[in-house]
Amino acid sequence: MRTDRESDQLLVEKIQSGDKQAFDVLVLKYQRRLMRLVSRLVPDAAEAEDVVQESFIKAYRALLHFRGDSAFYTWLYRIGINTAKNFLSTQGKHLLTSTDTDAELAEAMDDREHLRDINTPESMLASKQIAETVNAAMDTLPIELRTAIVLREIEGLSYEEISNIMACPIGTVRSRIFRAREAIAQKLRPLLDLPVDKRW
Amino acid sequence: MDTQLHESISALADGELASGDIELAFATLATPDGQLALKAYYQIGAALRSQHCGAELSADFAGRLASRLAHESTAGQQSACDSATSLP
Repeated sequence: MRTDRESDQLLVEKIQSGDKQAFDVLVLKYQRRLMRLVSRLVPDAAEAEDVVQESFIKAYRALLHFRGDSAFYTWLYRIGINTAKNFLSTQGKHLLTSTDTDAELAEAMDDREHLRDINTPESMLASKQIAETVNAAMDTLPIELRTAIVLREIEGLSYEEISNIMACPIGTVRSRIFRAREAIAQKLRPLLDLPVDKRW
Repeated sequence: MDTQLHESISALADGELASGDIELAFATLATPDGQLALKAYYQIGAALRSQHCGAELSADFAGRLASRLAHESTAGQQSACDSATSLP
């Protein structure tokens, strides 16, 4: 049985030898995952979709030079992240840097209060409100923290895989994921601190 | 609580904590603060993976991409082109 990586590499080699249809297989396999990632970096859905399209086109053009030193998805995600960053820059949208939220995060560190167990029979509305709060908090995160936590929590990648994609040491990945979690937890805390019957 | 201890709990939740740090992380988890931190991290992960988060591709995504790809030369043609342009 072939691993995912071997299977992808086989498709890459087919594309490199001129089989265009093999690329369709890779697109089908990764389009939703790439959209999940990019939509976390580019909040507008239509713009995110354009970035995903552009990422696949760039990947296709560059595939001839892909040697398989890293897994295809690692390489594709890197293209997606860079394309998203470039898009945000050209749109004049502010790319938060990690230092922007450092002070805010430091305050959060000093203000730890008890979180309520919300894992009780609650309405769909409760889950939705939490998800919306997490989403809103995500949008305020620096792009490198957002990218790291998405790759971990949504894509389920290991720290090593994330370090390859983000081209940074594993220790930096660990720190970025932690800082993202803390920043989101800070926004979530008031919601979780409220009694269940007073949340909404 | 110490930021480093919370970072250890975060790494522990991901199964990425170095073996040398595991004992200390578990000791931290025995405290109410450690338990609450872990619970919050799991809550965030669950919310991020929930149906309310993330965007879906539009119905015409595949068609639009296929149309753009149709105008791209194949890798073999690119190779020939690259070779031609790299000639002295």
